[in-house]
Amino acid sequence: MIIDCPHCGSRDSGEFFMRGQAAGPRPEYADGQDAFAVYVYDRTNLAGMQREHWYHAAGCRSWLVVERDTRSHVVGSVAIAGKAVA
Amino acid sequence: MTRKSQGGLVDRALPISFTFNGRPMQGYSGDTLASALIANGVKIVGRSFKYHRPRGILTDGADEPNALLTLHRGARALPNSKAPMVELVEGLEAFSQNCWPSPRFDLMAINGLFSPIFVAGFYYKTFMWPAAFWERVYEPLIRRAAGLGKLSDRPDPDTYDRSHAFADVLVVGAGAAGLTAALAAARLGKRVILVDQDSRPGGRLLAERCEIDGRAGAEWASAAIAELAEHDKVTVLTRTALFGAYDGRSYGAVEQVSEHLPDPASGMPRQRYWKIVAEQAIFATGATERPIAFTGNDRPGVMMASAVQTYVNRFAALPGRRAAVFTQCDSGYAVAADLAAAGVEVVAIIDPRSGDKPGVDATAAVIHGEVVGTHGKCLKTITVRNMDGKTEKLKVDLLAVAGGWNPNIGFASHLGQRPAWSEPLQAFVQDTPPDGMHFVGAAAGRYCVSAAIDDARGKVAALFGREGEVAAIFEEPSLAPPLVVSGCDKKAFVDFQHDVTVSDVVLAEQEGYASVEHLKRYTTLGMATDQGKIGQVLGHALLARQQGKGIAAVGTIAARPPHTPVCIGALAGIHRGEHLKPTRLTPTHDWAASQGASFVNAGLWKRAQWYTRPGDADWIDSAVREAKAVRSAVGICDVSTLGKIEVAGPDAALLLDRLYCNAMASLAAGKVRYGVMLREDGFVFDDGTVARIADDRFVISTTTANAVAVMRHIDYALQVIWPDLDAKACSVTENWAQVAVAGPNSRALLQRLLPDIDLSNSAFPFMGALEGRWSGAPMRLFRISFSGELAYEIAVPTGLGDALMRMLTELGSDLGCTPYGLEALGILRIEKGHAAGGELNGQVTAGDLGLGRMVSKKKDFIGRALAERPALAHSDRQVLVGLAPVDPSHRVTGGSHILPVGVPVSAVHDAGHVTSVAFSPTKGRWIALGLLARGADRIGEVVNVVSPVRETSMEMIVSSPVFVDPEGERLRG
Amino acid sequence: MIGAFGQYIASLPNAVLPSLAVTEWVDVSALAVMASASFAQQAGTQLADLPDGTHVLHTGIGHWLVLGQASDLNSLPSRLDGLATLFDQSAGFGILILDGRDAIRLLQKGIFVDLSRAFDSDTSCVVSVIAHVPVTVWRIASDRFGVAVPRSYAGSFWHWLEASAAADAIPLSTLG
Repeated sequence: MIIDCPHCGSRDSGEFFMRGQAAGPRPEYADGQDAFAVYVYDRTNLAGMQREHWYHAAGCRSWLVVERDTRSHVVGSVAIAGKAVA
Repeated sequence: MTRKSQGGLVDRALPISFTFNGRPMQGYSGDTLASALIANGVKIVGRSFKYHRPRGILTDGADEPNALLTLHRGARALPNSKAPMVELVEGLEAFSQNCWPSPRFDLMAINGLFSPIFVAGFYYKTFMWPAAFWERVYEPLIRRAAGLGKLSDRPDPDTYDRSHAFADVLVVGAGAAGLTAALAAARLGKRVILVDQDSRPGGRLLAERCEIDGRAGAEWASAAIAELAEHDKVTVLTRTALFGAYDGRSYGAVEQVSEHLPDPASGMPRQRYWKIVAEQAIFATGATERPIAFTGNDRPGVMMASAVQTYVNRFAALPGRRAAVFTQCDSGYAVAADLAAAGVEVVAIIDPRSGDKPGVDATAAVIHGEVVGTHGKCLKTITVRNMDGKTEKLKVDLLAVAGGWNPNIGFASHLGQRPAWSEPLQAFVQDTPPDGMHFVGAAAGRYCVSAAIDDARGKVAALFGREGEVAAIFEEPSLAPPLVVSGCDKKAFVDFQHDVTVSDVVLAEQEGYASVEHLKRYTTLGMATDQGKIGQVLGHALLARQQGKGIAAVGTIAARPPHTPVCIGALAGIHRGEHLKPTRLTPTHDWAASQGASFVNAGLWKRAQWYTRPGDADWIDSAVREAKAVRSAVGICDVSTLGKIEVAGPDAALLLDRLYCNAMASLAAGKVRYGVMLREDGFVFDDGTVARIADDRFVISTTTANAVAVMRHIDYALQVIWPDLDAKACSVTENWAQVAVAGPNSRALLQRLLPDIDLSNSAFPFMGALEGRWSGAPMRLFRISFSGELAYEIAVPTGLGDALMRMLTELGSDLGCTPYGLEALGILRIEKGHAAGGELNGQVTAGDLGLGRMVSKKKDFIGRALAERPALAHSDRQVLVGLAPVDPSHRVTGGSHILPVGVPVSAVHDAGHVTSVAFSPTKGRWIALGLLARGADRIGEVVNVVSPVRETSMEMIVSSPVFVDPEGERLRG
Repeated sequence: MIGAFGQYIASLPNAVLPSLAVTEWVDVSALAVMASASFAQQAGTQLADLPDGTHVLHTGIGHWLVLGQASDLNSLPSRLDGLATLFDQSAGFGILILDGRDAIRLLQKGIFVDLSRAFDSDTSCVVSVIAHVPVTVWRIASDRFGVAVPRSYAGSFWHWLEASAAADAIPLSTLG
């Protein structure tokens, strides 16, 4: 797989760490354990385009949101996960 | 005469000597092993896989199913080499496989008598009962009888290279279409990589007598290559076989670098693995000729017609003297003409098609019929049945078979595209290749040379938007379907390499294996090293016919990489043995080696495990001696491998508060605190120390194993969870050499090293941090202890680590300064009940480790919410305890399980396990740390500690995990 | 201070006009500069104004690795105050300089990034891996490249360099 890192350009997927389906925003402690359980454990396990968190470990160390089709490895969009602007 | 005295592309001025099964033979430069064998009159090259039938060379390329030979002897032996793909080289030794004592007389041929039993599904129907026989009797028997070549079983003495390459256009195949495409792209200034698996470019132009622009095909090819050499953005790789198409427009290929050289230079690799990324890839991979299924179609002397053409025209080697051609396409007539021009008597052309064939020039008598039988150990006669049903015998020693053409489209399937059946071509084609892949020439069904060239030119124009170029229009030819002659008996072969016959396919279909995927696994059709290149489509056409369906409905198998076999060594490259992964060396590695250290792998690092001294009986002796030295004098240990991360900025303290379960923002400058990080699910992730060296700058440490994971975790927190925090983190693990100096004499030793810094207990108490200088460079000093003794860790720039260690050794010589390694480190921390890898197993909570009081109730941090789940605080949880054997002579086995005494040893009674083990010099016996259910309530209890795997069991007493100095007085002195 | 590659370079012959010469840049000062999004542009402007012989490598979003003589870099902490956080990395790398027409050919063999397009601007660099070793590669001049390797990996990186050059019959030498 090739991932187009917004800073580094086209890179082999081996340069990245794949965390999994992109987690939602982190709840507040006051939201309770159920909210955190959803945040930590619930994933939709799609057969299709999925938004994932990838980390460019061997490159610029940016966390990215990558849209990937879990059936074909076709990569849709790649964006920076945080607020930085490349 | 089996070699013509003139003609062909071999160089008769350069003879080459080689041996075949020990027999000396000669060929010429430019020969392949196959052409040289044919020129030496060799008819039988081996025996077939199942029935051990004598077999000769069938084809001229990678689709060869019979001439599978082992090259070389000893460690360099290369089994299953296809003779037509082997470049002849001086001194080459080639051996037949799968036969004994020789291919001409093979005792295993007795298998042929059992052929009625060895039908499709044989393995599924027999060897079932009794079950006990399977492992001890059947499997060894099958293994001995099965298989083609044998591996040498010795370490590979060759080296293999790897190269990455990028191109605008990758052209696969340097035949007429490929060379045209490469030239067109090169002239447009593109970066071009052209690969061809042959030793010289030209493809079928080297085999057929044809002209392009008034020149002989081979000459045209040479001129094309010469022009390509002038473009410096063009790379031509011959002897390079593409083996796979992968995601992201990347391709894998293997180049034979020195295989063809009799005397490779030292350092020269045997093969090179190319990883190529190309925006566009043009596959000019040609087409493979189909056989025809008829009785006896595997007899030595029966060959593919296009292969006969290659041997006759390119290599001037004659596979026979009296030939017949069995063809159902026009290309077979050209083969007959070439044979006649070479002086071979062509007795007949047998063509089953009715009707006139315009434009075809018959150079021999044409019989409208089919071949229905062959005879002789090597071919002597054939039986022909004409369309009225009358049969006649013809005396021939060569039968050239032309059953049609299958475009070589396998690479498109590597990415999942299924081929589509073309009625006009009567073949599978690739109409919808993946993005970036294109098929031209014969690979797209444009079989004649001019059509192939036009197609290639048009494709490049279309890709790069050249104005004024019009895509060529092609008339689609009408070709004959794959042919299975009616009335075949059991000896009509479809897959030659796996001995799969027409009747096997028929039987499989009768038994309900109606899909091509089932047919493949049940009959093993297409599962040999040729991957079905020869017979698969024929087999699927037969399956379709049996089911009364069109072949389009039945489909075919999607090919998978590798397209041709690839040596594992080529994929490994330099990453073998000790270089499988990179090695990371600590700053004091060379010094440690000079001190007699034995090293252990800790991830990628090499760490000193113990130092051997005279008098040490074994490694335990060394480790115990070192641990004693730390407890009684002073030891020095390189701890550079632990992760070190600097965290800085106005919100650095706030970030650390959120990462650790205990308070960090309250840490004062100049102080160090032990910290535990949880995962968001509440379990312990990592532990380490946090030192505040300035108001807005901290240095944290991590375990060696988790250094990378913690850095990633912190980046996630900063970039994804809390992007508004004004803080930055940077790994400085590589920047500092860090040495632990531990023991009652450690202060004295460090005071000698740093005479200008007051290291008294009042000036620099336990858990302090300071910055200073040593030897003209920055230095950091931390008063922390993993060993439980008075201890420090000193950090200097990496390049000074070696000098530091030597200086400490020199200054400490009269203080009993002793280097200590990981084993001694383990003894010391186990005696103190400090958690490390065995305890931090991802399933423990802070409470399990006895650190429950550290967990803050006042601030938010990662893991806070889910750590409070009732199950994570349950009183039945397994918690950290110490264990010591009742009998002091017993040695504890790591990983043992803890059970109550007096109950059967079974999982039902499992109460926990041993996580760390060491011989304790302080306690004079082996001790352990473990996780035990309700451990805090069981201090003093005797338990049964068993290892069913290593068959040990012993009674042990449960204790606090802190065996030495539980009050921590030695730390704070 | 001896460099991370000192023992390997010392074993190379000197050569005149070789197709590939390998030397080591020791006594380097190295700073990792990290700026937040809102200050990245200003930080970049400050970094563009450094003496010749300093290399500013744009390693990530708002991140630079700055290499140079200590004296040339000592103005940076005050000039970047409030704009970026600095981390000293001076001891953490072994830095090789590859000179000659085979320099880029050898680097391209080992790195799975298209080097023909990678050095478009003054601060371009490639942060990637060669033979599983993390590397930062940048172009100093047309046939001159710098490679920064984490110090602990020096031996493994050298193993790749030697084997890959030998496989293409590129003799390794150093400049005297």
